[in-house]
Amino acid sequence: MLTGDDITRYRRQIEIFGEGGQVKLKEAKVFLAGAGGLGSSIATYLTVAGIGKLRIVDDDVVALDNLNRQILHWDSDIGRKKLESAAEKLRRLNPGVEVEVIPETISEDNVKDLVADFDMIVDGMDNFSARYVLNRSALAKKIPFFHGAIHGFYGQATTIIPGKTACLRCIFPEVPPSAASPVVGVTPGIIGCIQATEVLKYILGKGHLLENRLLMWDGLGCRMDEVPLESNPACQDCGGRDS
Amino acid sequence: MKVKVKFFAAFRELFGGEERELELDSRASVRDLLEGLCDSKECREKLFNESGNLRRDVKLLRKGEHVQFLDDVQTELIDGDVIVMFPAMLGG
Repeated sequence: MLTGDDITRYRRQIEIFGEGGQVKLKEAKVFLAGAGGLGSSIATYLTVAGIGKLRIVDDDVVALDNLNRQILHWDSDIGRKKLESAAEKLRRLNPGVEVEVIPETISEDNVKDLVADFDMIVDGMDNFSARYVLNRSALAKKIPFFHGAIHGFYGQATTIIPGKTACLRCIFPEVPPSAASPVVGVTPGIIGCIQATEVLKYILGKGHLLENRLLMWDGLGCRMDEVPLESNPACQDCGGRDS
Repeated sequence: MKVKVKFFAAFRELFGGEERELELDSRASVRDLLEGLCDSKECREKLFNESGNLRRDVKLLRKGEHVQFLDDVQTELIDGDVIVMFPAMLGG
């Protein structure tokens, strides 16, 4: 049920998808992996949109060289756990959202308990070993996985729906080891907003998701393009079957 | 035969545009295509590792399929093929 304050707070978006849509958002439980560049953008927009529950997992501490892009963390947060910093800002931004934080490193051993009964997984990670763990978890639970990644002025996003689309491993069967990527803050801002948009559309059942499409953002050319995708029969995570 | 390559993200900077069409001998392979694209050592280093294999952060699709699951860089091309080249972005 929406409160009177809810109806006022979300009036401008209720004009788009009605009170029924806002109730869907309020009932949604979103699992966000990472409170860095992508995570800051994703969490901010899901919070102001009125998601019911947001669980964020991250194990990092705020450092000075995070601050060009990780907009949930400010100069005074240096040295704090990113989750403390993020939770504080998000709760102030919208006290109506239940923000839950878990300071752990996502692994094959704990992902099942971390994702638990959440409705979807959003990718705010900075490495593919963790992304592959999340991909497999989404496949096992048959819940959507909203992928995003960035490099410099470039970014990419796609929406993985088990049973319907290529999985992350179909698209990126192997990648180089993790390395610090150069990045300008606007790029995770843009890609995170695209991921958050996909999450909202999925919950609301509106529009066309980035299914079997890899959106490529070229900030230098100010262009968005798409790479069409297909499931990979040789995929080691989904085997191309009902990925 | 003619084969088109579409570049995305940093490959647009490397190759100076969004796409390029190459005239290749019949039965040319993906490796021939990549060699035809590269006119410098720096360019080759962006595509191939020290062993001469395709780097793991270079993704090549033909009709949505990774060439590594076809016959890798030995994959034979056919007239009119469109190869999509994009990098594996890691950051978040």
